[in-house]
Amino acid sequence: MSDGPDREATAEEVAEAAALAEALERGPSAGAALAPPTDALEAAALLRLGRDGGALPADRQRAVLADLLPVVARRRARRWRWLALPTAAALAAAAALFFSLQLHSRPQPVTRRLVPSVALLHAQAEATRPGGGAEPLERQMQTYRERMLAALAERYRGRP
Amino acid sequence: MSRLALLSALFALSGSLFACASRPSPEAADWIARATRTHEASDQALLRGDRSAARRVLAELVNQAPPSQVANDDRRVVLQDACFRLAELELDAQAPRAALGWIEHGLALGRPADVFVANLLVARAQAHERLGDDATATADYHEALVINGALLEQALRAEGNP
Repeated sequence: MSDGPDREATAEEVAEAAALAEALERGPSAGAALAPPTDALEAAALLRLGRDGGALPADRQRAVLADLLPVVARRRARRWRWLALPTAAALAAAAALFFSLQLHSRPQPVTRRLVPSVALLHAQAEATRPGGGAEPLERQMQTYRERMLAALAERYRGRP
Repeated sequence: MSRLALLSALFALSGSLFACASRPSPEAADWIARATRTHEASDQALLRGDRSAARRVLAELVNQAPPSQVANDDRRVVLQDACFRLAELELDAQAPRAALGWIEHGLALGRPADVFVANLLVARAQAHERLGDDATATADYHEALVINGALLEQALRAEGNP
């Protein structure tokens, strides 16, 4: 009685049938709750092969494509990730090196290196007074000018 | 492989930038040498009493563009100094308007608080004074003295007199 064709299917048989239906519809799935019976799968595969030579129907092709595209995109993104991080780090290091070199290799303004003497500044202040002569200032400037031009000449001739 | 090539290119770029930044320049050195000769020639002309020759050589230096290899600040100080000398020559020749022309030319090159800018401000004050514009002259004297005071503090510190 219990083994007759009219008996109710067990829960396991129902699950197997569902897995088989799924496999027939979409092929074996790793995510299925229960693997379909192997012999039934082989029979189903033979049936499908006899029906359409194993070709996937158009809607199935679209479904498979839809499943695969995100996987391919993720793999492609992973492939570039290994290159992006070191490249960004190398670019950042190069930028830091560039700005550091710019800062340290830029020549200091000559007026910062050659502080005018107190005598020169005194003569300059005197020139602002009513009747203050320009000659003392010009005399002091002559000395400062010689120092300045000598410093610039050294810089552009490449002496330390 | 591509990473190695990229890093090599970056290091090569950095190296060439460093080489460019610290490379001496014969053109710039020639221009500085020319400025030195100009001042010497101007001094000699003044010793002879030939003010127009002194003015001419200085004007030639100012009117000819320096080579691009000369740093902006170096160009400014050399030209502002020559403009100051030209302005003083014009003031001596009782030509305050001509002096103002050289002064404005010099100040247009930049106005950081240094001895060259202060000199031009003193000369401009003197020119305005000669032209009867006392208010402008006073403002220029004041600005020159502010710079002068700041430089004096630096000079005193540099000479060990804080």
